[in-house]
Amino acid sequence: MSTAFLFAFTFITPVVIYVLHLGPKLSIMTAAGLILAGNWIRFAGAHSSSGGLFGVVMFGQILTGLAQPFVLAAPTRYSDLWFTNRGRVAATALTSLANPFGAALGQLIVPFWVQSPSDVSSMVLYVSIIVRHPLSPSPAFGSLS
Amino acid sequence: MVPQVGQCVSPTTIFSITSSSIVNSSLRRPRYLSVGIAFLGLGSRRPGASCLSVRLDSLNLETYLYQLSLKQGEALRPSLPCSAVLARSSACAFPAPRSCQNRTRRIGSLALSDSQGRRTHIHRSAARLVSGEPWLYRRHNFSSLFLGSPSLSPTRPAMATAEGKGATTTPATATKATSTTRAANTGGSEYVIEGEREEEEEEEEDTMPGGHGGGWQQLKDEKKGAAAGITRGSGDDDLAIEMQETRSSRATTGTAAALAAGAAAADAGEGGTMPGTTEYRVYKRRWFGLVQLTLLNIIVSWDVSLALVFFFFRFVRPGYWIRETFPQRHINGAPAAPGSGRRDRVPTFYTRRSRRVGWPGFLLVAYAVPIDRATFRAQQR
Repeated sequence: MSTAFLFAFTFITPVVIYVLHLGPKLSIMTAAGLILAGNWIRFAGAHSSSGGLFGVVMFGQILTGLAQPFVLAAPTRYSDLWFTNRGRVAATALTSLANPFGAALGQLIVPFWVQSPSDVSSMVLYVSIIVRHPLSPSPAFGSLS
Repeated sequence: MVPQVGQCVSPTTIFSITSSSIVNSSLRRPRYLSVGIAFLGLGSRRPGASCLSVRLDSLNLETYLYQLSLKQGEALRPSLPCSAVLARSSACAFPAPRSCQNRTRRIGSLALSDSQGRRTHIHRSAARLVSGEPWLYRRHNFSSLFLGSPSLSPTRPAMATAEGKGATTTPATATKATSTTRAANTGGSEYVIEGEREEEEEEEEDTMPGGHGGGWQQLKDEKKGAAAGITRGSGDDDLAIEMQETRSSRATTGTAAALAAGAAAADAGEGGTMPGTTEYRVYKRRWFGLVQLTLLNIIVSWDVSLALVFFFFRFVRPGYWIRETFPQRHINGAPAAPGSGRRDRVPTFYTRRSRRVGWPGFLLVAYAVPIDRATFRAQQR
């Protein structure tokens, strides 16, 4: 699954370059849509009483993996667009360091939720719910272009 | 639903018009969808601001200029004859004829000034539209794709043009370059399109920190002039308005008028430009995007870290290797392996079908069965 994620990363890179060329807003919205779709698809695959569907989970994970380059590369573009030279460093650093911070957060919190395989689907549900919140429409979506 | 051109409408109406036109256009031509989206929320929230609404037809790109009157009871008349805008834009339909392309240019934000000297800026893409530049004209060539296109920086200040030679030579020239307002001799209102990048004929170094280099070259070839103003037409032009192409270093405007316009802009809170310095307009709403991008980064990597969880529960889970390598299935009459009856409770994607590993695997299992019992019991808790 991690390998598929990395391959997805490689696969999507040209698209990311193109989309970032169109603007950070489009990139962010693409990432948001991919994350949202990927999470719920993954939940649909993992939540099953008769056992999950691994292919569905894999597909959702690949969608999530496709979303990551969009937001990984967006901070520089965004700060270039909206910040001056002074604030650009801090803005880029904040958004870029949020990425490893989120990984650390996930690896810290998720083990508390998941003790056995039966907890996995509920964990996926929790994460899907959490993920939904930053993706809700905000004033920034109208102004990120 | 569509109001008359030039009619004072509310922002909600403009939004509905724009969104319905987006739906219509996307149904017909999905690739034009992004064009319409870019125009959402164009209107400035200040009284007297004009809002540009774009309707995308199957072939024609129509531009409407609506007047926003946000103060109670205040209705400002449109300072640009909207019919002129209509004529202008409909003349530059998709695909734009060559005559329109010749006049296209990359321009900065569109500064609209009304008769009272208040100015507002709208999106530079809107300004590009008003100027008639075709939208989808193979903008994404190789150089602009990898070196960045200046069309992506709508908030680069139209007034901060202290780049290139136009602004670094003398303060007087810079002052002229920053405000290309034309003298108000055409009824007290004018529309000024201020070029973010004042084009020069020579190849100058790109001093913008964003590194917007490649995208300009193609446009330098297209035009001979620079920051231009849309003025009211004198009648001899077939489009009723024309793009007057002036060069920034030439600065055809009178200095007094330019200074007055600059002062008016400073009064409006947009910040004047000191000669020789670069000032950027910054918006508070950029923090929204920053926060959103931060949260998005957090949850994305959180999501990615879940792959590790799946991996763990599939491959590293206690007892997995034991059950996987146990050759009991392939031996007739062998006793039931511990945990094999409960296997169906475990989601199938955490487990894999057993492989034939032969007797070495069986020896391994015989060694590890007590461990497997303990771990499986702990797992069932």
